[in-house]
Amino acid sequence: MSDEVTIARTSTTTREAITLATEVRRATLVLAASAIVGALALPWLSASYATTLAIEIMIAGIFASGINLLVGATGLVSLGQGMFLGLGGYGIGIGTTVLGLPLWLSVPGTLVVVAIMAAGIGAVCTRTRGVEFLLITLAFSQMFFGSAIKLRLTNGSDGMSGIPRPDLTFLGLNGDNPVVFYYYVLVVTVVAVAAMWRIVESPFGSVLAAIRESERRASAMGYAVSSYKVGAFIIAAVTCAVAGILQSQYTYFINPDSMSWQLSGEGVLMVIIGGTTTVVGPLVGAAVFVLAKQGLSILTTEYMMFFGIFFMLVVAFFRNGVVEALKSALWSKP
Amino acid sequence: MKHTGAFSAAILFALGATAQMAFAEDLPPLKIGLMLPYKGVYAVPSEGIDRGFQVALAEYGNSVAGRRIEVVRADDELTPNVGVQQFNRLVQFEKVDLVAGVISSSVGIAVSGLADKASEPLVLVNAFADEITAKFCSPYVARTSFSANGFQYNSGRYWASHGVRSAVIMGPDYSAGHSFLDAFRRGFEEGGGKVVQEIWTPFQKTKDWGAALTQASNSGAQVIYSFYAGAEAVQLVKQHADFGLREKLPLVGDHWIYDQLNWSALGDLIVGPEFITTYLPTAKTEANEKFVAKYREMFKQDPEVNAELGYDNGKAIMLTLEKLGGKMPADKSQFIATMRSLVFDSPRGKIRFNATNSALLEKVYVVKIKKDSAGNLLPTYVGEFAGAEDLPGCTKSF
Amino acid sequence: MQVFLTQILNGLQLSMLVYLLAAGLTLIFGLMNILNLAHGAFFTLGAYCGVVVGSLTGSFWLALLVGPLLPFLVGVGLQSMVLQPLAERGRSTHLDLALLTFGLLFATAGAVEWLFGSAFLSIPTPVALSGHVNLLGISYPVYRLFIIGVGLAVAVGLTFVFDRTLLGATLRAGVDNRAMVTALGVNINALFAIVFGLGAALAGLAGVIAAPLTSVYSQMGITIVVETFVVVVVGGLGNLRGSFYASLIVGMTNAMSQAYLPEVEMFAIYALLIGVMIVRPQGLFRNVERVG
Repeated sequence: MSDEVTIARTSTTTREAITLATEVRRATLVLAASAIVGALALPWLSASYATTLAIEIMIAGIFASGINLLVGATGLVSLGQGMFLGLGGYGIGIGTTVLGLPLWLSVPGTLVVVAIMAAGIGAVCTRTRGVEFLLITLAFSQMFFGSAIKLRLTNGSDGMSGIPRPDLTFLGLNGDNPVVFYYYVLVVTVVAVAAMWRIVESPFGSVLAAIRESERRASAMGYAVSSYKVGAFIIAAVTCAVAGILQSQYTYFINPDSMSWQLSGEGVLMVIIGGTTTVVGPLVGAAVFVLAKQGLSILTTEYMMFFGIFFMLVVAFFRNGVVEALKSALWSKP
Repeated sequence: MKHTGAFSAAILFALGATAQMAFAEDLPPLKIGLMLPYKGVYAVPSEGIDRGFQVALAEYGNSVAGRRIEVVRADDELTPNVGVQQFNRLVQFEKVDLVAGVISSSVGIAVSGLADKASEPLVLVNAFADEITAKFCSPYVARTSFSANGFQYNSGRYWASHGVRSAVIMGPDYSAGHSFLDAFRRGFEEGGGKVVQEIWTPFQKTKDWGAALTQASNSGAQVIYSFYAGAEAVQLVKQHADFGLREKLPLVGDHWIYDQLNWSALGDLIVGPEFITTYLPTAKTEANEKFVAKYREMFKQDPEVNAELGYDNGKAIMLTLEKLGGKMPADKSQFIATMRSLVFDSPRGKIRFNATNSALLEKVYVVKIKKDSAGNLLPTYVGEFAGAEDLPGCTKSF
Repeated sequence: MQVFLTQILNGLQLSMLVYLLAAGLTLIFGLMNILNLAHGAFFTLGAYCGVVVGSLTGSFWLALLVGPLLPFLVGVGLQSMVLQPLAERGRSTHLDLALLTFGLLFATAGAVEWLFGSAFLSIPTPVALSGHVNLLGISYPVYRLFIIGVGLAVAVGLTFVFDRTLLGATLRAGVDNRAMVTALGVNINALFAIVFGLGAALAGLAGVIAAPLTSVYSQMGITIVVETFVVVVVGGLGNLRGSFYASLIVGMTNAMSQAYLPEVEMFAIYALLIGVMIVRPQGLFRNVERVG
């Protein structure tokens, strides 16, 4: 008698579980759809400041995605990704203002140079792991930071100004217009996130995940672990460089502060906030971070103190990220 | 019948009140964004500028043509990236009518580029680098202080003609540092002097001038000519004395190296050195006496050069708004063009603007601080020279 | 020649200042494997504490004595009440603790700025140590010689404790093999807390000493922390003697490049760190105490 009741109860809970799963899937689809519509319509829906914030969020999101490939997918925490953001910006800065090349040459040229440098730096850095990896990436970043300040080529601590936005006159559009620039950044963001998703879901990405779980096992299975790590390093670097290019086009200039280790730390914070397990996590983290920073600067002048406290709380309690925390909150609905 | 009088009075009163409210609704406040590096190395000069700015606004009762003036403050953290973010926030979110302030030339260059592209007026209080009104000139950007060349070129000529044959230049390695000291060098060498060495220290990142001072003392020069501001200035003056160089290799500078706001930190070190300044608090002109009186009333202390720069910035803005009847023109470059046409008496002398919206300096004083028997520190007049013209380089016409 | 001599002394002075910070950090790192990015915060706390004492009493010497106390207490508290429980609960890996201390570094800088403002503060140089002396044909500030003296004294003192006392022996054993030390009945948590506190106190002492020279400001800990890490890694983690020699290398590199090759000034020590990590990741200096 009791068995039948148990079976009946189990099948009820299974049915409930299936309904819940479909509901969550539906909810996620609705959320995603509204996000897409919202993103497309943003410039018309609201004041221009929201567009500006959205641009900043997307650029930060690309930067964080690059960091996440190392931190989340491969398990390598780097405090030096700011150097690639800076290299991206300085690359087109030098390409356009010093060498006089048009953007359609400078941008790919910069990305190629960054990839080559990342291969070299990555080969050195990936020989270490854990805390040593953190330190050596920090050291490389400080080295580039110091060079940017000292070199005449990069115009020292003043940085380089006059960096052009893309010339969209063939489409009849003006890149200086914030709305046009917003769509340009949106397109790049979508492409970047999609590419990142493909990489993570690909066989390459699975090997990275295996390395994250246990390097020894992956190596025992016959994978050339160092090559994969360097590969991830290069892709992450190029992604961060793309963010750097967009950033310098957005503000029309680049300076050494974009390579500071505080900036790298902010990037890592965005990744931690958003959660390392999903591809949109870094974007969510970037959004939370940028909005919180805005809110903080309106409420108080003590940004640094709250940033530090916020950072500590997130690391201590939301280690798996806000996205995960929300997911588990939603799942425990019944 | 009996209460018609009271009734009519009540109606008239009500009508009047409604008319007053409607009228008030027609005149929203004028919002000015004031962007200064309130935190960090230049925090103290920023506060001085802010106070002077407030005095200028207070002279007009904080309103123009019946419209209240509201100041929205922002901190650019002496960083161009943050300056750009804050500029966007002021213009797009706070919806200010114009942005004023900015000390750092690096921030000034970044933000003036943005102001030009966004067609929003920017009235710089410091940002002395010559390029800002030359290479990067814009019909939307004005500067109420002066250019580096205007300040330092004739300083070079002055010292060369007053017994200084050789000098070693020491300064922070960024746009303003280079602008100031290059201008000095040009004037000095054209006046017959010789610059034997140039020593540049990383801006905001140098805490120890030991190496720089050692090199300077080894250069064989007669004096060190320098520009530093804020905390860096205090460090340099103290360490210069620590190395025993006050007699051997005097440190000649300006009103930022020997900033009045730093005198308490410097103690007796301030007594003796000669330096150049654009503002003499004891000048007996009408404009200055009015300024000093109002400043003392509002802040219970005496103004100094930073406050004076802030005052000029605020005053220029208020005079322009007054001329425009309290209404911002649809084409905001007209605001800057109106400012450019101003000529007025300021506590530092007469202010007029040149064709690239840059204010010119009438004269520069050379002073020395003496201590009287009561222990008060008094700036005493040593000499003066005229401010110079700006460097060319603006290719736009407006 | 004069420049060279002065720079040797400047280099020594820079080295000693960074040694005070590195000594504590290398023990913390070597013993507990914690990358304490907040070590710079202790430097800042000590300096501000010294400023308060100095302005209340007018005495530099009192500031020197009392200044390191606050960092010591904060260090002990941080380790025993925050870092240790988090590590034990398994919630955080060493990386997480490192990131936590990163946040703490900025939180402290912000808090200090909130409490004291942005103006640069100072502790007045004591009369006994002001002025300059003439030695070997150059004029050199007395106070900088004092810094060199303090650094050397601390180095000698620490080496004595490390090599010849029971505490030192326990520490060396703990660096080598933590499990064994616990098994031998040593209260490892108390040991960790005290070592953390002492490291913090040394950083605080460095803060008070640096104050008359470089002034006190909220970001002072952030700028010096990266240099300290370079020293710790080059010297070898947990290697006290190594960090002394490494501080000399880093300090001299800084001083000499400032004087002779200013273009590489901000570049040289990081290139050095990277070189060491590639070629000899355990540090340039052999840990002589390791047996077998």
